[in-house]
Formats: sequence, structure tokens, C-alpha cells
Amino acid sequence: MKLRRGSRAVIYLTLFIGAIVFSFPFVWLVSTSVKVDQELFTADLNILPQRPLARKHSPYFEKRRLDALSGTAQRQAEVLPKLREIIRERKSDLDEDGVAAVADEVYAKLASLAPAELFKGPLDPFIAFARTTFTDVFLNEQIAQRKRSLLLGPIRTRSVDLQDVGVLDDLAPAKRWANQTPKVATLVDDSTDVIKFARIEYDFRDGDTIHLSSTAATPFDASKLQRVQIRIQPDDTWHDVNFELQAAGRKYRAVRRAMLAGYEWTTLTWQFPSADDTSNKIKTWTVLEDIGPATDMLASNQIKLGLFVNQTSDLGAVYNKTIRNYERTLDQIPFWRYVRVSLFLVFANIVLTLLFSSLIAYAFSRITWPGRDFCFVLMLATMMIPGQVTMIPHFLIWKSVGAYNTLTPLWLGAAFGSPFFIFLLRQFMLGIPRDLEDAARLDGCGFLRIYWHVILPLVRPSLAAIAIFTFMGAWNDFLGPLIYIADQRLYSLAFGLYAFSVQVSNSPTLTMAASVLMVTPVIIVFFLAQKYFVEGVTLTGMKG
Amino acid sequence: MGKRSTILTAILVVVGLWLLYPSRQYESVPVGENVVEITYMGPGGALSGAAEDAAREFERRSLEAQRADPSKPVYRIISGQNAARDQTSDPTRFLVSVAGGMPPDVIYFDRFATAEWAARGAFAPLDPYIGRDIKNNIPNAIRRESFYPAAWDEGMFDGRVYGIPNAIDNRALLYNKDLLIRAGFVDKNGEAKPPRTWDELAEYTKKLCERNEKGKLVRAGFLPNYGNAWLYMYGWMNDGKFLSEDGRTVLLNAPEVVEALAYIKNLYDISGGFQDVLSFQAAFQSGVLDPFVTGKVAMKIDGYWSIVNLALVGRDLNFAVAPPPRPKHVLDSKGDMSWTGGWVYAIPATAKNKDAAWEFIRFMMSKDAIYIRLEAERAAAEAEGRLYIPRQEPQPTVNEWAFEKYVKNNPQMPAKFAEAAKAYNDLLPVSKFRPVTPVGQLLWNEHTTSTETALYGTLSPQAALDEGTATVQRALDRFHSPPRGNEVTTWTWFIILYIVLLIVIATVVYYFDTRLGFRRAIYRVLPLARKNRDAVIEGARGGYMRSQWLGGLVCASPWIVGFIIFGGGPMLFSLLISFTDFDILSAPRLIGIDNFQRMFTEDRLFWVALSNTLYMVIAVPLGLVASLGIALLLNQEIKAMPMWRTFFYLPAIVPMVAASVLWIWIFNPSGGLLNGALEMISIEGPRWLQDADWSKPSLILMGLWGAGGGMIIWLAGLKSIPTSLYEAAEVDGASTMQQFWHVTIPQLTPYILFNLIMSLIGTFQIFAQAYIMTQGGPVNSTTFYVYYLFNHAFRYGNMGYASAMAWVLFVIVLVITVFQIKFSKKWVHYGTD
Repeated sequence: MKLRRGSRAVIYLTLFIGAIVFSFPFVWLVSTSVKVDQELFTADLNILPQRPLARKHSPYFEKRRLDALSGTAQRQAEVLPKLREIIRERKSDLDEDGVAAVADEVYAKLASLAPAELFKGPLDPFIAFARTTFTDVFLNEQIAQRKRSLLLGPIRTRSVDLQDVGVLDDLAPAKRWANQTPKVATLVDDSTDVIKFARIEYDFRDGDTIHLSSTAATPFDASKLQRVQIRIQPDDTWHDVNFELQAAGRKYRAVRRAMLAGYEWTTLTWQFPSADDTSNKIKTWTVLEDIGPATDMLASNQIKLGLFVNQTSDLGAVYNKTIRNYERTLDQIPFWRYVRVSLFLVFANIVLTLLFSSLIAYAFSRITWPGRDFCFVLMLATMMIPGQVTMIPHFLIWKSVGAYNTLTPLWLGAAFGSPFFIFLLRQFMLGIPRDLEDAARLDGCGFLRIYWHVILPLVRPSLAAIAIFTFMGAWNDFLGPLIYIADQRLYSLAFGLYAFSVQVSNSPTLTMAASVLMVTPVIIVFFLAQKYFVEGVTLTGMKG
Repeated sequence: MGKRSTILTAILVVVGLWLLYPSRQYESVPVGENVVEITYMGPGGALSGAAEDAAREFERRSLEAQRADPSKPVYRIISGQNAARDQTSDPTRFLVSVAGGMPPDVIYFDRFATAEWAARGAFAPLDPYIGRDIKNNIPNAIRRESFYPAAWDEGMFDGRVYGIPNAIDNRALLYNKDLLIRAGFVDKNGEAKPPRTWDELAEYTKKLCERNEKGKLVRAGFLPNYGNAWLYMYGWMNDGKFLSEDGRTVLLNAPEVVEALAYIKNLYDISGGFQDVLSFQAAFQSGVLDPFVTGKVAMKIDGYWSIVNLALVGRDLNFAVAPPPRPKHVLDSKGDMSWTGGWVYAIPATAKNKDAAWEFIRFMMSKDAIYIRLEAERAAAEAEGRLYIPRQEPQPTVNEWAFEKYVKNNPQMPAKFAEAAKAYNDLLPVSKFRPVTPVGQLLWNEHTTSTETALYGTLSPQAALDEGTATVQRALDRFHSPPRGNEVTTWTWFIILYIVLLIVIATVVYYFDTRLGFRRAIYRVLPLARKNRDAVIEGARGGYMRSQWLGGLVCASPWIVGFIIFGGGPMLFSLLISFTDFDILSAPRLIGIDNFQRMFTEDRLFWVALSNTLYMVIAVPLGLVASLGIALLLNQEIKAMPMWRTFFYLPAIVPMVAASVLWIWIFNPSGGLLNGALEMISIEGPRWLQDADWSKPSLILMGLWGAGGGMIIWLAGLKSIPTSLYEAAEVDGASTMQQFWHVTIPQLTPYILFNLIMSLIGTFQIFAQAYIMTQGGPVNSTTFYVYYLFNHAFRYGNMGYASAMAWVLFVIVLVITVFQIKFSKKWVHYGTD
């Protein structure tokens, strides 16, 4: 069917709109995978991730708000200047950025507390309501919402025999660290009613690195040290954090940098290589590598920590934010183990399916034998059986041969052929002229050689299509592992992704990062092989 | 392909697969000999944080013990992703692991369901271990006396202990003091006064509601089912019971409970009706935007965990905690009440390392372990600047000790939190717990379904509860007097029967294909298709074609073997099982047509599931048209074809898990993409997946978006139409439209038939969406046939019933397909080329 030239534009327009609609999931998947969680839990629609900013100095006030402010634009315009005034009165030490940011936050909070009638009519009752709600605690909470600062909490160490102790706890937090770069940063003691911490006030215009060091005594021998933890509240600047450690005469460095991502308190953990590294545990730690002899003289129960904050460029911040969820995902699941299982299943399934489905199709299309038509009809009928009818017996059969919790049920079945593929191949094979086969037979070829040398090369497009179908089926199979696999060591990627999404159900960004990792190979395969898809599928030859 | 390259490829494939085959071993195990692995199935995923610290200590102590006495084993706790939302409400993974003979050694299980699984024989009784420890005077022996009775008794069944309580939580009324004061609910000192009776609660609810100029709710006084109360709470408030003392009679429809449900309904009506409240609730968020924290809800009944949460996100909220209100006459005579839930450690009956598992449980319940856990939790919370409020402990002495240490004697603890925690703890001794019964899960499900049904107004409270009661009572009766039948203990006769059957069929088919006389005799008896009625296959008469027969059989043998083992056998087996009572854990018992009878006469949900599934048939034509449209579009001569095809095929590639997260967000009533877009054109969108009337259309919409996946077959069809036909049509002067109707469509009919059959079969088997996205809700509106079947099989363990359902489904699909094929002769046009 051919369309006239005028329709061309319409076709491309339709294609374009369709492409947007249908590729939207993938766009969303990718964009969500590079967001931080806070960007998702907002009342507004934000499809694109927020751009990370590598701030030159800290503390600072975040100007941007993820949610739009509620209420009418007019009321906002009236109220915000007044709120700023009140805030300036109460908190004289805030700069203008701070006042503006806190006013937004106060307004948003008031909007959720104030009775609806205050949003219409005169302004005064609203301001009066604001003044009564404005306790100091309230104001401080709103400031905390928008103020970003880099805070250091307690330092903890753990020995190999699980002695877990805080070090330097008796010192004021700022005194625990020796500041090697006083030009760039200053350490200030601060506290809330619950916790004491040191605030690092820095300005990268005077240098690119903050270097803090600390020498601490541990109650156990330093050679027994297993891990060091530092509580830290990052300031959402996406700078890099590096770590060095000297203990028992050696010097160690973290194999990977951490980053100042987000503004929730977190724990940075550095740990010596151990059996944990190859286990399926969630990797909450960064491994330390030996980089040579210690440079400082230390007593046998002393360790020296070096904490570095290195400035990143704006582009570096974008890079950091982009890969953060991927790094975290790879930390949380034994990703490469899952990939290996999936690859095994995919290859085993493809090899067996191609080999046996085509062999069976050959028997159904090119050879005559008693019972052939009966078997073919029977096979078509089995396509109608809901998988659930046989699911339970299959489970019992595999279990009875000891194959529960092994991969066998997930690939061996392919050796028995898949009705749909057999059907497709048979239709394709029926279209092959008989002469070719007869010629081969006259040359003295047996049925297997005819199959291998004559038929198989001719059905290649179909085989390619079936290989891709099988690839996608095996790669995405979720129900199989759900029923047959108990051991996490044997999870496939698709099932691992499901398990992961259940485990981190409150953090969809991680699920999305894992999904992107899982989907990308399939998209590439489809893109490269899509022409076989269409060529290889044919239902004709099905006559009467 | 040359011989050599073939062999080379084969070797490469085998070596490649061998290299990929994942090893079971971790690359390195820290300690050498006598290592006992204890597999632990906990909530969510691997042990982490404070609990992991305690488990580590357990491992370390075992290592130390081995150093002192080399005969002792070293324990390792293996925990990992278990792929279940929680093991109780989503027990598929647990059930198959038990059925597969490889259960975890210790499982963290919801306490109220312990009895049910114990009744099924899934758990080992723990009395021998408890008795042994006490007899041997082991320190930290677990004793009944050291637990709250409400916690301990809930883990018992039939006089035996099956679970050791490890967590407890109860519920109380939380109220926002500021809002109560503003509404004038104060005592003589001007302090906010919480409602104590049902009448007061209704009065408060009414007065605290606020609406905007459009009459929409903007602040609610009290939402009965927001938080964690359930009908259980209101029934108990009204001094109701849900099960008789002897455990034989379900009292879900007792007058007290009916009254309670009517009261709930009344509270919703006061706030503007259930539907209005639901749209109000749809905008609720969590964290700092929690509606109780932001003052959108003035009062709620919720568990102890809500004050832990308030310590995190609502420290400046002026709130307090009071006992749940009761009707005045009940309050006067009975005093205050609450109800508890919680978790237990249990040991599956077929666990490999029961003794080690018990060691682990005993350690985890000891003061040492609890201290390690609480300290680790405290350190983590305080290092992050949060207030630490320990959770409630099932052992009173431990609970009091933790409260004293971390709450009462913590100078940083604001008084309102200390008072709130105390108010909760004071209610623990008078807390009730859900009835211990083998039908606990069903009772829970029915009690929520009845509530929803009554609130949606489908049925009156009395009728809704009557219906629920009948369902649970029937299940309970079945448990106490199961249908009589013989146990099937051996399968030899089944296998022999099957083999005989196969031989008979093979013989008949052989003679049918090779003996004309036999074939004619068959035709006389059976009205088979008459075409080629006298033909017999090649080789039957002559000799030389016979050599082919062997080749054919050899080539087809993989399928034949596969069919015998995985096709015919399982089908017969499943047919047989459908006449039995079979829970996979014990031997099946033949019960005749009981399953089918129950399905058609008693099981309300069966019909709901069937009609839900039939509803989805609407999606079939829509999907076919959509995917054909896409295929037509992509069949044009356009540039960059691979790119466009990939775009349109993307939805079919994105894994279901990711797609479901995406669509849950798109369908989110507030802030979701769909309602956001509708808002721009001033339409207030429905609540999509959260609304019983919209959930199925939502899924259909989602299915349409996946239509790109169906285009492949269509494209193949379009490509197979000979261009000569179009050329001829063009010569005759046919327009594009005419070409489409008179050439394309008739040529495509075989593909239409194929797609129609496949999509219908697919529709009847809808499962993943319900399993991953909606879990059958709301109000069972997405409980599709196969999802319901799967639940019976792998959630409730009713394999017999599930098999019966599967067979009914098979018959339905078969009838529809046969009908389609018969009917297709009238419209399907097979090419003549």
C-alpha cells in the first residue's frame, strides 16, 4: 500500500508523536535514575532532573525549591515581603539569600497550617496568624530546611573482633581534627539539642582542597582495626571526599571517593578488605587499599585519619550526580553475579531453543512419519493450556529430581522445544521448495545432513528472530526464578531487580538505575537485530 | 558451515556456558572448619544496621566458643534479598522454599499468621527447645513468663509454641493539641482534651472538619481508617469479639461488630462521605509532608511507630496520645483497651539446622543482643541528630528498662514524647490481639473487604459482614471437619496408567495413519474432518519411504519426550489434583468434585475474578487496532527505520517491574502525570488505580501503551502481502482507503485470527500487573482469574483448588478458541499463492 506524497508530512508527524509517547517510559526511567529521592517526592511534576551545583562556598542557602508554592500568585506577592520583614526582625544574622529562602519555606508551611479562609479577603488576619505560629523552634526548623552546611559528627572504629568504639569522643568535635588548609576552611563547633558536631565553613576560591587530619588512640591494637566510620552531613555540593588512613606502619587509601550528595546525615564507612567484599551483602563501605609504608610515626594503638574534600567543577558535579545512583545500585546488589546468571540462562536457552525447535519443526514440516499430524495438532493445543495448569506439577517434577533451587528448570526445558517457535519455523520451512531436498537426497544425504546443510541455512532469518525472542524472554523471565530459586546467589538479573525493588521500595531512583542497567542491552540487541524480527516471522504457508 | 567450524562453534558454546555457570560458593569464607550456615529470612532484605550488628556478635561468640572447644561449630548468618514484600502477606517465596525442601532456618514472621502456618505444618513446635533449655539451666533461656501474654499467646497454636515474639506494637489515639484548642475542646485548665467516648469522637470529627469555598475537604478531624486501626479496633472498642472462645464460630457479624462498622461509616459521613474522604486522602504524602504533621488531619489512631516517626519529622508538632475512645457504657464498665500486633521468630518444620537456628533465636532474645541492637540504633539516630525512641519490646522487663534508659532518663527527650511513649506502654497490658486461628489470614482479608464493601455503599454493614462471616466460617468448618477422602500416598499406579494410556494412543495413531481400513473404521465412529479421508501417509504402502519414518521420529523425539514429561503427564496430574485437597506440604486427599462445587456455589471471589478478567477482554480489540495502526505506520517507506521501530518497541522491552513503578507514578492521583495533564485542561482526574471503578480501565490504558510489542507479527503480515496486489488495485483506480479495505485487510486475516487467539489467551492469563502493581485491590477490583489462582496455589497453599480453577480456565479458553477457529472459516482468507 502506497501513500501519496502529501501524506508524508503527516506520517512523520504521527511517527514523531508516537515516538514521544512510546519512548517516554525509557526517558523517564533514565531521568529518574539520575535524580535524588527528594526530587521524586514532591507535589509537582518534574520530568528532568535538577542540575547539581558545585558551590564554591558553604554554608549557603538553597535558593531553589522543588515544589511550587501553593495559594494564588497574588497572595504570594503580598505575603512574601511581609514574611521577609518578620524574619529579618527575628534573625538578624541571615543574609538576603537566607531571608528569601526561609520566607518561601515559612510561607509553604503556613499554607498547609492556615485555615482556608485566610487565603481570601484581607491580608492582616494571615499575617496575624503567621505571627502567632512563628515560634523560635518553628523558624529554626524552616531555616534548617534550606540551609546547607557540611557537618562532621562522631568518629567510630571497629576491630576485627567487633569491638566498636567511638574515638576522640571526649574532645569538642572541631578539636578532633587538625585543619591542614586553614586558608580554605575553618572548623566551628556547633550543636543541636541532641548532637554536637563540627561545621566546616569553606571557600574554594582560596584553594581546591580541604585537608583535615586526626590522630586517635584506639582501645585495641591498631593492626586489629577493621573499619572506620565518620558521620557526616553533606551540603549538596557534589564535591569529592577522599580518605587516607595510617595504621600499624602502613598507609591506606579509599579505593573510591565519596561525594557530598544530598543533605541528609549519612555514615561514611571505610573498611579493610574482608570476606564481606565478595558476599552478597549491601556494600555500605568503601574498601581501603594499601599504598605503602606510613609517613608518620604512630604508637601501636594509634591511627591517623586524613579526610580530603576536593572541589569539583560544575561538570564534575553533573557527572557525580549522574553516576551516583548507579554506584549505589552496584553496591546494593551483586550485580555482576546476577548478570552472569542471566547470561548463562540466555545463552543456554538460545542454543537449546535454536537447535531443538528447528529440529522438531523439521520433523513436522519436511518428513513424513506416522502420527505427525496428530502430534502437530496436539502441540498446537498445548499452546492453549494456561501455564498455571502445569505450573504446580512442573514444580513437583523438578523438585522430585532435586532441581529445586538450581538453574536447571530455567533452561533445560528449552531442549523440548517451544510450541510457538516450532510453529513459526514449520511455517517457514513449508515454504522451502522440495527440489533442494531431493537433490541432496540423491547425493546420498541422510535426514540429519539435509537438516543441517539444506534446511537450517535457509531458515536463518527465522532463527534470528527466534533467538531475539528467546533472548528477551530469558532475560526478562521473572516467574521462573520466583518459583524455582531460593538462593540469592542464583538470582537472575530480572528477578534480582524485582527483589531489589521490593527491598528499596521507598527509593524508586535506585530501582530505575537498576532497570536502566538491565534494559540497555535489550534495547541495543533489538536495535541491531530488528530487521530479522520482521523477516523471520511468517504465518503463511498455513493453508486450510 | 564446514565440519571443522561446526565442531569449533560447538566447543566454544559448551566452554562458554561452562564458564558462565555460576558457582554456589562465595569466593572466600572467613573461617575454616565446621561452619554451620544459618539462613535467615527477614523482612525486606538482608540483615542490616543494628540487627546485623547483633548477628555479627552471635557469629563472633560462636568463633570464640570454637576456640575454647573445637567440637563446637562456627555459625554464619546468611541473609539476603528474599523478594517478598513481607513473608506473611506475600508468602509465595516462603511456601515454595518449604515445598522445595529448602526453607530458611529462621524466619521473621507476622505473629498473627503463625497459627495458620503452624496448622499447615510449616513450622516446628518450639516447646522441646524451650523445655530443654530450662531443664539444662541455660542462661538466657526463653520463658513464657518473661513475655507480655498478648505477645506470647498469639504465637501459640493448639497448646504449642510456634513463634518467639520479637517485636510488639500497639495502637492509640494521637491528637493535634493546637487544632483541638482552636476548636474549643479544652478542659478547665485550657489544655486540649482528647475525646474519650464514641459520641465525643463523632462530635470532634464534625467540628474539626474544614472545607474550602468549593466545599472540598481541606482539613479532617478524624479519619477512622487512616493510620492503623482497622475494623478490629472498632469492634474491640465496642466490646465485640471476632471468634468464639472455643475457636469454632466466627463472630465477624456479631451485633457489636456490625454496630462498630456502622459507626465507622457514620464518621466518614460526618466528614463528607467515604468517596470524598478518599479523594482528600489521595493527596497524602509521607515524611515531612505527613498530613498529621502538617495539620491536615487533627486526630488519628495509629501504632507506636508513629511517635518514632514524629520524633524524626514532627518535633515541633504539639501533639499528645490518649487511649482509643470507646462507647460510654463500655468505657465505664471495661476501661481502656488497645490492640497489638508484632512479629515472631519461627523455625520451619523442614529446616536443616534447627538447633543452630534455636541458638540464634535464643541469642537474639537475650538482653545482650537487645542491648547491642538498641545501642547501635541509638548511636545511628543520635549521630544523625535525631531523637532516639526505642521501639516496644515484647518482654515487659526489657521494655521497661529500654523506656527508662532511653526515654525517661534522657534529658534531651521532650516531655511530650516521653508522655506519649508512656501512654502507649500503659496500654500494653490491656491490649488485645487478633484471634489465633488457622483461618487468621482469611479472617483478616474478609474483615477488610467487608469494611470496604460497606463503606463504598455496595452493601449494608450487616450484609457485608454476613457475607464475610459466611466465607470465613466455611473455611473454619473445613479445617475442623475436612472433607473425607483417601490419602494418595503412592503415585506408581498413576505412572503405570499414564504409560498404558500413551501406548494405547500411540497404537491407535499409528494404525490410523498407516492402515486404510482402520482409518475408515474410525471415520465411521467419529465425525472427523472428511478431507483426504482416504489418504494414508507416505510409506505406508510402499517400502522405500519408510526409511524416513525413523528420521522423523528421531527429529521429533525432543518434543515427544517433552510432551510426555512436561505436557501430558502434568496435565493429567493436575486434573487428578483438582479432585483432591492438596497443600503441597502433606499428601493430597481425594475429595471428589468438592473443589468444583465450592468454586461455583460458595466462592464469591471466584466470580469476581472471572468477571474482572472478562472485563479486560475489552482491551483485546483496542490493543489489536492500536498495534495494527503502529505496524501500518512503520510499514511506510521512511528514513531511519531502525530508530523508529526501536522507539515504538520500547514499552515491550522495559521490564514489568520498572514499568509498574512508572505507571504507579503516572496514575498517582495527586502529582501524577495523567492528572497533572488533566488539571491543565481543568478536569479533575479520577483516582485511577486507587479507585475500584477505575482500576481496570487504568490497566487497559497501560496495556495499550504496550501495543508496540504486538506490531512485529503485523509487520510480518504486511510484508508478506504481494506488491502485485496493490499494483493491480492501483491500476483499477482504487484509493488508499479502498486498497486498505479490499487488499490489506483480507490479506491480513490469518494474522488477525492469530493475534485474536493469542491476545484472548493472554488476557485470560493476566497476572503480572496484579501481582506487582495492585495486589488485587482496591476492593478486589483487579483480582484477576490467574492472580486469584496463583494466590490459592502459592499463597494459601490450596494446590487442589488452584488446579481445579486452572482446569476451568482451560475449558473456557478451549471453548472460546475452538469457537473462534470454527467461526474463522467464514472470514479468514488464506492466500492462494
